[in-house]
Amino acid sequence: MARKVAVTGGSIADVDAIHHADVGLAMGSGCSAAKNVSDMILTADDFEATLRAVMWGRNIYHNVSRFL
Amino acid sequence: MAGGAQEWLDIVLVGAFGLQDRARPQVASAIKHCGTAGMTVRMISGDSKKTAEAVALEVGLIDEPLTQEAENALSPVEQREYQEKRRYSVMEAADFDAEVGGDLEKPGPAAKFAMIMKHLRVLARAQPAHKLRILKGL
Repeated sequence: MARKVAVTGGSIADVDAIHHADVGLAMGSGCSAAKNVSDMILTADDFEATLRAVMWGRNIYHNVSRFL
Repeated sequence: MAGGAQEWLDIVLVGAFGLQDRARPQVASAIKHCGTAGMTVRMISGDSKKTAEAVALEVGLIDEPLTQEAENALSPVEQREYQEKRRYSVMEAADFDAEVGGDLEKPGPAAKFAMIMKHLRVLARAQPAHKLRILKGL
């Protein structure tokens, strides 16, 4: 299985990394530049949400692959 | 003695205080669950090595170091592995750059990068460029 890199962050220093990651997650409290380049915004501002996001992502992926 | 030494003798300590910016309580369990789900969590921080290491210990990103006795009890192979892990799990960005060497496009640095990444959990005193370099190298 190919590894994917997700990046979480919220400051200006994280913008480049969030932009270039396979999945960029910005904190809701982060700067607008970080939110603009991100794929997903964690409104709860909580690292645990990263885990939930991956869980739901896998869930949906598996469901879709079963359907196809 | 320098002038004003007498003044210092009259000073009485009233108190001392420290400040702490603790990690959120859910973080430790989230990191543990990430491990179970096959994800590796790494922290790239601008903080000093000591600060970053303390936070990483608090949230379970790295393990407590073994006592000397426990380390001696390991087999030679395990000891070598353990020392490698100790050396590379928490690094300062400058040391990381020096260890990796040059461009990740070249085979030498790429192999070193892969070896370090096996252990690296915390990169301290990092610049934004380090975040990019690591995520592109992974």
